[in-house]
Amino acid sequence: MVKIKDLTIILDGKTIINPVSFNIENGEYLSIIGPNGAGKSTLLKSLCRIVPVSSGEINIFDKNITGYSQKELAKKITYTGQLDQNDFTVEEFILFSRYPYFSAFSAVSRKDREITRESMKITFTTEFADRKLSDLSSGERQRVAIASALAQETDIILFDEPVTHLDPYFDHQISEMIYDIHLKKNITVLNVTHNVNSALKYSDRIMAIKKGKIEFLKRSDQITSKDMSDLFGIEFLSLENPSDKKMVLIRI
Amino acid sequence: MKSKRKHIFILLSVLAAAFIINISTGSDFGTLFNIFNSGTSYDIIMKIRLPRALMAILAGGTFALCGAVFQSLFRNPIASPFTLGTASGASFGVTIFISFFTISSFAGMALTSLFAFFGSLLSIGIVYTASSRKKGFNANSMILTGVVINFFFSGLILFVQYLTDQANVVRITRWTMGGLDIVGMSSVLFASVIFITGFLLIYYFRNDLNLLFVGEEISVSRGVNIDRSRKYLFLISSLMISSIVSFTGPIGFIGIIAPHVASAYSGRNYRVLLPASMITGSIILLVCDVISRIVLWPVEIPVGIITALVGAVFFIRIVSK
Repeated sequence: MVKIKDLTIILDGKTIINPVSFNIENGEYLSIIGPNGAGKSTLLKSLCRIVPVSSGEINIFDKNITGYSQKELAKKITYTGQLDQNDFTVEEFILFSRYPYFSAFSAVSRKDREITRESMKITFTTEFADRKLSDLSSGERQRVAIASALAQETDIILFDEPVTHLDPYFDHQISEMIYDIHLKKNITVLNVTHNVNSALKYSDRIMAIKKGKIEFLKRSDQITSKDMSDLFGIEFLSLENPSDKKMVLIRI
Repeated sequence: MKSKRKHIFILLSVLAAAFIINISTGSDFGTLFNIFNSGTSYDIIMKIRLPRALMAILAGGTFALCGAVFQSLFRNPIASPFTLGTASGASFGVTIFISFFTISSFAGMALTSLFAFFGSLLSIGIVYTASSRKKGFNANSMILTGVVINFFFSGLILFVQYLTDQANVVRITRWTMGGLDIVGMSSVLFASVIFITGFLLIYYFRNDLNLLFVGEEISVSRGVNIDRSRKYLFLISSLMISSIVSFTGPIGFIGIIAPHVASAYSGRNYRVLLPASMITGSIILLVCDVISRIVLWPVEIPVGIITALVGAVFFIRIVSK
């Protein structure tokens, strides 16, 4: 579904992504991990043209992303990063994600409103539909960000550190929510995260990026604690979670 | 959405009231009531007060509308149509005209307006080319260039004023104060064509404006072609401002105040905010115009002085909140 070939990204004369090539399967959950400044976020943003591709190509559904109009691309793939505070109400804001489906001369359709309400229900944001985004806590705002991505009805959602800065409760709630959406709606997820245990728990495969290159790309059940130690340059203690038999890493 | 429609209806009622008060105000308050009995009253209303009130509606509406657009384009609450040097460019054009030319009209066109128009186009052109040369539309470098252009043109204006004679200096200064003292309907007709076309074009981009106000990454990922939308919005609003400024001179602060007032009661959604700011801007300018005519009654003062004073007080309130 997504095929990336010899992708290079150069910003302001600095090479952020060295040629990388990889494919993403339909309905896959792929986590992207790696040290700060490795280029994970830039890679993610290039998939929906927030960051321009310098050379190489990104194909989505066998079509180069440069061949899509921005609106058409926004029906296939979307991105959610940190959401700033603003004056819009939650419902208003989520409705804006219907942009690719709006036509210039007509009002917002009933379908747009239904999908907005549905997205709020899934993300438990209905109760603050009329509050302004500036009045929400960061955990609540992150749920709104996910709701707005959902309302866009894309096949692929790119999450850029969705749980960073959140307390363990919201970290857990939102990670579960993303996994749930992925399973129930068969949405392909690319998730940039610093939480290696979440990555091990939820993803089909994990891609590690370091200095703009792919360090490894493996099924998550084949990853060893040595892979992680090599990637981050620190020691991990590896345990097995008795409930799902998956590896849990502890920093020591 | 129902309540929002009610907002617009209330605003339109206030606008109608402000309009009637505006055309009743003058050295003789009875003029409006004698409109059908006295030829002089009829002439005063139709040739002086009506065009003036209509121009107040058009100019106030344009400045406010473009202010709301610029706040989204630059994601900056104090971006105004004049931040980018439009006003000082227009003033420079007028300065050149008053100082170096002796004819006042050519082929039926008021040359002051023409020079003002090209002056402001010049400043917009400089700001746009200087800041977009590197990588498209860059909000910060545009605002910085705009501020610098303001200083640059102010310097040129002072330089020309220093060389020209005193009578010209008075005329130039008077123009830069901004005013609605137009005579006859021709400029009103011209301005309303610009106004209606401009509003419709900007309203076409209402959904883009909402997303652009939230941020760049959100806009792109939601499907906005940001380079195209920003370029068109910038060009449409700049042309609107330049045209109106060429008739009224720079009338400051309405472009900042009106969108703030409008968003406080009808929200930030540009579907509603665009018409709401526009009507609010018209109301503010109609009221400021009334004040400018009664504060030293029966003498009237340039409306730009009133909007600047009222605007500054309001501005301090925003900043200190």
